[in-house]
Parts: sequence; C-alpha cells; structure tokens
Amino acid sequence: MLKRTFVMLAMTLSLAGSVWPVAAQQAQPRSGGVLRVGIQSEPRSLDPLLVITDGATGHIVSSIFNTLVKYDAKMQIVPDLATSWKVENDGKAVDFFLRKGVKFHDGTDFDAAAVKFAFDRILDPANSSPYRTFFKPVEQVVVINPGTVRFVLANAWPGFFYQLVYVGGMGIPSPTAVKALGNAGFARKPVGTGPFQLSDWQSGDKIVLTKNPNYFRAKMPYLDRVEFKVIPDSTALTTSLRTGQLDLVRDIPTQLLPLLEKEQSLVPSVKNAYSFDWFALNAAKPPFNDVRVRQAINMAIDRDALGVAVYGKGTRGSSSQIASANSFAHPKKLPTFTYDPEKAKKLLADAGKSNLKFTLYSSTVKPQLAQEATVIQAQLAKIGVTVDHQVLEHQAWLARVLKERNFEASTVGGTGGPEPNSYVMFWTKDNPVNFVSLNNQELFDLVPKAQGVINEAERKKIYHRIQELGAQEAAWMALMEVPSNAVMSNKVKGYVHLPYNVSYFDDVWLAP
Amino acid sequence: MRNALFLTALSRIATAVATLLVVAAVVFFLMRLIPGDPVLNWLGSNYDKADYDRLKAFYGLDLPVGQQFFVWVQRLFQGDLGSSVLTNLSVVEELLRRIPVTVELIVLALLVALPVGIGAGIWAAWRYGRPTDHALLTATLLGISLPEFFVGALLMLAFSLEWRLLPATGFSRFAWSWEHFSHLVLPALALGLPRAAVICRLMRGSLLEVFGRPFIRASLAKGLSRKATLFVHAVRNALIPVVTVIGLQIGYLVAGAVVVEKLFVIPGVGAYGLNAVFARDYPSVQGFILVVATIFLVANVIVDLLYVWLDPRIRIGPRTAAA
Repeated sequence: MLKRTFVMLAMTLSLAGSVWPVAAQQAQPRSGGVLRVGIQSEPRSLDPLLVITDGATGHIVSSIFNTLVKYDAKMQIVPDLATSWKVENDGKAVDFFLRKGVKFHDGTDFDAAAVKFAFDRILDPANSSPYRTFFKPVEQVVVINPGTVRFVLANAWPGFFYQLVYVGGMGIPSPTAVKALGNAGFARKPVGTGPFQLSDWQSGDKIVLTKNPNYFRAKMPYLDRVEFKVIPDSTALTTSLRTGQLDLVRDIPTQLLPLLEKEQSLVPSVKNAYSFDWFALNAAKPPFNDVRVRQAINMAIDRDALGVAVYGKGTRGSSSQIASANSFAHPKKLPTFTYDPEKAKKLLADAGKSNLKFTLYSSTVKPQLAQEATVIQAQLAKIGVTVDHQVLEHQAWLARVLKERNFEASTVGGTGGPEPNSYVMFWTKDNPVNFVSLNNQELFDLVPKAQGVINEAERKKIYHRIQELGAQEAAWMALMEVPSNAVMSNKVKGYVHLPYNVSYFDDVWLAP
Repeated sequence: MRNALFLTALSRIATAVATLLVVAAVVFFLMRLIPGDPVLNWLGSNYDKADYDRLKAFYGLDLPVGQQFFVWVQRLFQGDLGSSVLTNLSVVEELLRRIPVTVELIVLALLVALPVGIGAGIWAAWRYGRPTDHALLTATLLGISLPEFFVGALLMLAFSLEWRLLPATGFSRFAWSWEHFSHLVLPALALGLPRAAVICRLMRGSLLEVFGRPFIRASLAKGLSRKATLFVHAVRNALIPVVTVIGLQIGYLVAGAVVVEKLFVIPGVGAYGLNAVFARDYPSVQGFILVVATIFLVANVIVDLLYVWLDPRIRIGPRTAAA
C-alpha cells in the first residue's frame, strides 16, 4: 500500500513534468544575446556538491549542471537528467532511468557511473561535503546498467527527491574533469551537462557562462551568454539595473523595491518563499531556561507590525517553523502565539521575572536582522522588559552564537526549502546546529521519524505536531516570512522566478 | 648629492623592511584575536564536528598561534603566501593579478588630486581674500568632510543615472581604450577629489607663508613680475611641505581604494582585502596587509627622495645635523 502511494506520487510528479514551464509565449522566442545578471556576493566555489550553494551560487550552478530531477514553475519535482524513476522495496530503493545521449561539456558521456561518482563524492568523508549529513539515509549507489542507477536507502525517504534539488541542486559533475583537476581545481573550473558552460571567471568582477552547443534540449538555450556581475553595493546594484547595465537581479534588499517599481523598463516579481527571519532564545541559559519566560517574550512581539516595519506592506508575521509555501506541512490554523502583552506580563510575573533584562544580538549578514531587533526592543519595552541590542559582525556572530552558544537571544536569518524536513532537521539532541539547545524528547523522536513516513496524511500529522511542540518550547520561532523577489528588464522573456536559490536559464530570451 | 641620495635610500629601505615585518606580525595576531573563524564560515550553519576539525587541521589552524606565525614567516621568505581558505586560490597569484588594477586606480586618482589640488591651491593663494578664495575654501571644506563612498555614490547618481554619461559599475582589463578608462573615471574622481581638497588647502597655506619670506621681496625688488616670482620661486618652495603630505595622502588613497573598489566593483587589492577580513580568510588578509604596507612604504620612500631633489639642504644620515 505504502509502496503504491509512493509510486503514484512519483507518477503524478513525472506527469506534471512532461510539460516544460513555458512562460510569456505571446512573442516568438529569439536566439542570441547576453543576459547580464547582478549578484551581491561572489561564489567561493562552483562545485555544487562540496559547498552550500546558497545566495547567488545556486543560480549559477543550476545553469552549468543538471540534476537528476528539477523544479517546474510550481516548485514540483519533474525529470531532468532522469527521465523517469521507480520506487521499490517499500521505499528503500529508488531506480532512476537516465536520459540517453547526454554529454558533459568536456565531451565525455553522462551515464549511471557518473551519478554514482557524484553521490560517492558527497558521501566520502575525505571530501567534507556539507551535504553528507543530508544524505545519511543513502547506504549505497549501484550502477545497474549505463542507463539505470539505484539508490539503496536505509529507510523509506519521501523527502529524497527534494534533497536532490536542495538549494542550487546536486548537479552531476564530469568524473573525468573532477579526477583531472582535483577538488580545488574543479571548484574554479566546473564541468557539467547544463545549458551553459563556464568560460571566464574574473574574481571580484564577473563570471561568464557561454551557450553549450551540445545541450540535450535541441536548439536550446536561446541565450549566447549569461554574465553574472558581482556588485556588492546596493546603490551600485540598483543604479546598474536602472541604467540598463544589468538585466536581472535576484533577491534585492526589499527596501529598494519601491524605487525600482517606479522604473518603467523594469518588471519586479515578489513571491512567497521558503525563508524566515527567526527569533532564537537560548534555552540552556538563564533567563530563557525557563519556558514561561520564552513564551512570554514571544507573546509580547507583534509580528505583523514587525514584518511590515522591516519588509514593507504585505509582509506576514509568522510564528511557525515551516513556511506557508510548504502547504502540506503548514497547518491552516497554526499552533501559534497571538500577540498578547497582558498575558505575557502575567507569565513573566509568575516566573518571577517582572523586571527582565537581556541582551539581543543580531548579525550583519543582512541589515533587516538589526532592524528587527530594534523593533523588538521597542515592543518589549511596553511590558517592562529591557533589551540591550548588540550588532555583531557576521563572523563574530557565527563564533559566539552558533559555535560557542554564548548568547541569550538573537535574530537569525534562515532558509528551508520545499521539503519540510529542511526546517527542522537539526532538532536532534547532539546536532551542532541546535544552538538554542532545544531539549524535548518527543521532538527528538519525531524529527527523524517524519523523514521516513511515506503516508502523506500521517506525515502531515507528524509535522503539525512538531510545530506544536516547537511553539510550546518557544526557543526557535519564526518572526515573519521573508518574500523572494526578482527584478528584471522588460526585455527579459521566459524567466520563471522560482522563490528559491535556483534559476533555469534554458528558456530565457531577450526581446529586441 | 648622489651619495646623499644613496644613503637616504638605503636607510629608508632598511626601516621599511623592518616596519613591514612588524606590521605583518601585529596583523597576524590581531586577526586571530577577532572572534570568528574561516572554517566555520566555510562550512556554513550545517556542519559536522569531524569535518570542522579535519579542515582546521588541513589549514594548520589547529597549531598554536606562535607556531602558525613561524610557519607563515618561513613560507614568506620562500615567496609563498599560502592559499585562500575561502577559494583555495594562491594568494600570491590573486594579489599579482590585482595589484596593477589598484595601482592604476591610485595613479589615476593622483592625476586628479595633484593638478586639481595644487592648481586650486595656487589660484586661491593668488586670489587671497577675494571671492574666488572663499569659494575654493568652502568647496575644499566639503571635499575634506565627505567620505569617498558618499562622493562616489553622488557621482554615480549624477553621471550614470541622471546624465547617463559614464557606466556606474563594471570593469574591463587594461587597454588604451575609452572602454577601459570610462569605467575608471568615476572611481578616480571619487578617490581623488577628497584628496585634492586637502592638497589645495595645504598648497594655499604654504604659498601664503612663502609669499612673506624675504627672498620673494628680493625677487620682486629685482623687477621680476608677480607671476614670474610666483612660478619660478614661490611654488617650488611652497611644494616642500605639500610633498610630505602627498606621501601621507597616498596612505589615504590606499585606504580609500578599499571602499571605492567595493562601491564601483573594481577587482583590485582593496576589495580583495575587505572580503578577506569579513570571511576571516587569514592567509589573504596577511597578503593584503603586506601589499598595502608595501605600497604605502614605497610611496613614502619616493617622497623622501623627492625632498632631497626639491631642497638639497635636506639630508638624511650622519650629516643631517650639520644641515
């Protein structure tokens, strides 16, 4: 029964995938041209398997590499290098049937051995891949024949497909190139099967991708080149966009959007995404080792007002742990806090902490985190709580808060993904990322369990319970959902804004 | 004369090398005092303890700090600055690629700062007390007060966004072409104009001081015209204190280049150093500091030698007291 549901799920997924995302088809697509994309930080590596491809990196590697499966415009899983798949052995094995005749940019053939090579590379501890912990359930990757590869899993794992496209995706590299260049060399000279290949990387300036003439989609991509220009400064970035030096920028600081919306030549797009800004309270240290104090502080924050103050109108406050874009895991009626300063005061009095004082940190990784802390400071003052807000430079924040856990409270930015597990996976006892020191045995049992449940209704129930427990613990709570945006020139056609760290430029073309 | 120049150069270079080593040591230990750690930055938030320890050992960051410094100095003398923890690229190669870019930017900024600053200074002194003088003084006050990033942003808004004359960002490899220089006009102005303001005020003050000296009166009494006196006698003498300050201004230019390169996206040494500091990329920071200190010291050695040329009375070494 379980197996059938999973197979049916897989079938629906692959059916959905037979229709390629085609957007804005009024005019006939034209071949040629250069798309110039502004990015605010430079990738440190373009190896999709050995670094977390967040930020701009994801948008670049997803053009150089293909993944076994990819997203369609609705963020559903559709075929990419695998044309179909079959789930066997009660979900403990997945066979992928691979696309034929695909070649890497270096002319070598893509086959099942290349897939095995890629995942063995993630799983080999010597490579220190940040994805190794994510792929722990993978016991073995077996080449059945050149066109078929089998993943043997320790347990059924419905989130597996999403993990294949986590952030920039598990792009399949050319084994020949990896062996020839070594890990460090490959990071700068990536070789994949994607629609574009890397032709130039000028550190501190730009990354240039040129059309792959042997791409497996005939006559695709339309563009001759995609140039990613590194522009860290927001003024320089918006000016370049407004003067037509850039055609597309992803996830621009939200306070700049109104300025760009006025520009006639630009088309902005804002979507619900998988990102939150969070409020972290250290449950291992006073005063927040008392759950009543944690709950009280969370109740005294007016999250809707906070969201609007920081990200502008339309932003929704949230006190969930899983984004509403993950519709199935996100309960309609959230097990949440409603803004209730009176109740908060009473809780604090019960805990004997009426004149509470604490230090709230924020990192410089994005300016909104400090703005949030300031608003929280003002809101908490209303119930007599004194907040000392300190901004820490990001590296100092990482060391102090994440590693040493030497903090009382902090605002934190963080992204999950279409797979709900990505939000809660570090809620296990000894996980180094459980820096708020959550300690709830039911939660610790449920988190790994949810990962292996195939029955959707049951899985849904577990994720709802996880969020209920999370809210009770009140140590790691969302503040608001952070929308994703894309601003592009009105000449750019066919770009599908996926609210995630991934872009597929195959279908993009430039109007004259 | 020649002997003096040689002695001056030798003593200056010896001091410079010692200074470099001290600077490198101070930065080495300071960087490790700031909280943060390159490996944590590398691994991101979802790291495995074993991976963390392995990478730390790989980059030699598990050794005692004193020993790390010893290893670094040892490699330095072999011309090896290590490789970036962030990108794995050789620090020497990255810096060699970027030094010409920064040096070009600084030279262009000097080409703005020197003529504008000295010219405006002479003009203000010539028109002492008149409206031109007051206008120039006000303008230079603004120039001194405004930081480079602000001047840069203003220039960008005016020349790129409003008038669409020059590109806001972008960079192209060196070539004798407008395409190349068009990208450097705004950065050179942003970097050079605040320096021009400082030089202008100094030049004006120095000239006014020289105007009061007896030899100026003597030269006017000789029947030389005011203009000739100004350019033949006054300016050269007034330049001496200005040259000292130009040496220091080069230090400001290097510091300003960090900001300007970041703003205008120029792949020079400054932008590299800034990113390295934020990522706690220790080897890159060390390399960056070494380069910046070297540029600064070389500029100052050149300035010291310029003095001797401008004013032969200035000697450095045993005979200084006599002069």
